[in-house]
Amino acid sequence: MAKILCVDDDHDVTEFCKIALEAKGHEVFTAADGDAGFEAALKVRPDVMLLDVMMKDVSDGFQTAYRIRKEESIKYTPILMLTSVNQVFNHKFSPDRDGKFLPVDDFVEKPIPVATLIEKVDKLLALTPDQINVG
Amino acid sequence: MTTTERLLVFIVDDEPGIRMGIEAILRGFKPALADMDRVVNFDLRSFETGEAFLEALKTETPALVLLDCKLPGIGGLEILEKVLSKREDIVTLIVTAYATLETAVKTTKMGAYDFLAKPFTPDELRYTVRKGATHVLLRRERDRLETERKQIRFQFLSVLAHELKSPINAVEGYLDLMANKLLGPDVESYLPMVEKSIARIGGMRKLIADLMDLTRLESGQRKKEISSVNLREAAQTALESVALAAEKRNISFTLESDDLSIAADPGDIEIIFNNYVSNAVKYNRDGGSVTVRLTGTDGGKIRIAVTDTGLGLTDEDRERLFAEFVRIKTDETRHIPGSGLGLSIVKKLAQEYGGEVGVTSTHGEGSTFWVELAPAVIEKDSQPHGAER
Repeated sequence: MAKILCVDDDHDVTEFCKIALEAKGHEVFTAADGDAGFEAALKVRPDVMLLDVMMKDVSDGFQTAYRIRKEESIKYTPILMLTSVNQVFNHKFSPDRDGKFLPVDDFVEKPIPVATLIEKVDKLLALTPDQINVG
Repeated sequence: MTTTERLLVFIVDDEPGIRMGIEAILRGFKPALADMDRVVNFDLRSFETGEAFLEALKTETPALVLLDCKLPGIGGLEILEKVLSKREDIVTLIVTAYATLETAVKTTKMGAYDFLAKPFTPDELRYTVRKGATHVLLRRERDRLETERKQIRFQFLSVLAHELKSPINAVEGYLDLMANKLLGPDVESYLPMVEKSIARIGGMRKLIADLMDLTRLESGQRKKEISSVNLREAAQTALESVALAAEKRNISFTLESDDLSIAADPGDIEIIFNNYVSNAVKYNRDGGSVTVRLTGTDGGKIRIAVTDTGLGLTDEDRERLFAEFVRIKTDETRHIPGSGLGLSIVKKLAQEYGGEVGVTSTHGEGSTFWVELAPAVIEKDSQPHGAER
């Protein structure tokens, strides 16, 4: 059993992740914006963090990822970004390309298939601190 | 604040005297365009032949061209027809000694903006150039507004796409959980997911309905069906529509009203009441109250004020609340469904009725949303009051 923190301003997304990951025996915590997510991370010390991009503003999630990487106690938390493909610019995130600029470990695009979410979380749980993309 | 605009003017004339004359007059000419708060300064460049002018045109774009009809090589009319008529960014003023009505009509058809007959007085030249400069600046202003309009539309559609996609994602997620039987074989355990899915679909339906209200308002197409609307009755209808939701959360209603009527489209009044009253319930606390006050104002308008005992707003929230897609998201409100269009619709409606909207609020104690409306003027066979667009 692992501790997962899910940060998204859409209540149904956190609910979805909670149901899916609790069914796999994990303990799931939720927060609704970057600040609340950062505070929760300090308190909970999650084993994996799921982070939405657009919350309070368009890059709230990315800013929060940078904050996490600067905070010694939670620096090595594996981060999975929850993204929406931007219809206008049609940008699909990938760890190979965007991971160079963003200190996160993987991306998953909404709507998130249950199987993909579980698979990606399992992969991140297996990472050792030296494998974390701290930027 | 008055700003200075520099406009590049090309003068094309084979007579040195005319070129020098025009330059001398325009050099000291700095017309103030009061309507636009602009002062115009001219940068002048003269050309003896059409060929030299066309060569310069390859690298520079004048705002105005003073073009002589009769030139030694390629003529002014030919330049106008072949080159300038295709350049919408350049305003051409034809200067000619052969001032006939026929030439004037012909050059105007070919795209010239105005016409100056030789010989002209300095004042005639200044008048024509001033008119041309005004035209240039108005056109630039129009282009600027058009670009701005496109950007606003782009932003609106981007946000709209996001707002429509979120509920679909949510429902798809719940269905996926069910398909994978994440909570085991018992159907009952999936009912909360079904309820949540239905709620998101309801929210989407509301967004689409609001979008249609908004489109109808902005098109200005629909003719208003004006009749005398009893406000007390309209308020009661709106309160009844949210009675069930209010009862569940023990929220009470008070309606304070004289017997007031207004000449308006009943559909518009319904939209206003529905938005204000449903917000007052949605953003209220359990056990709170909603008070609707209807009063007449000194200026002959009517005032609808809806007071709740909910979360209240910060000053910053108040500023932006009536804009499109602005929803105040906090931990307390993020579960509350809403399209983010309701208040912007009320604002647009109020403007159509020559009125305004506003909100007073104390953070943590509650808010009063108000709107003032002037009666619609009934005009037969024409657009009703306020709908002139």
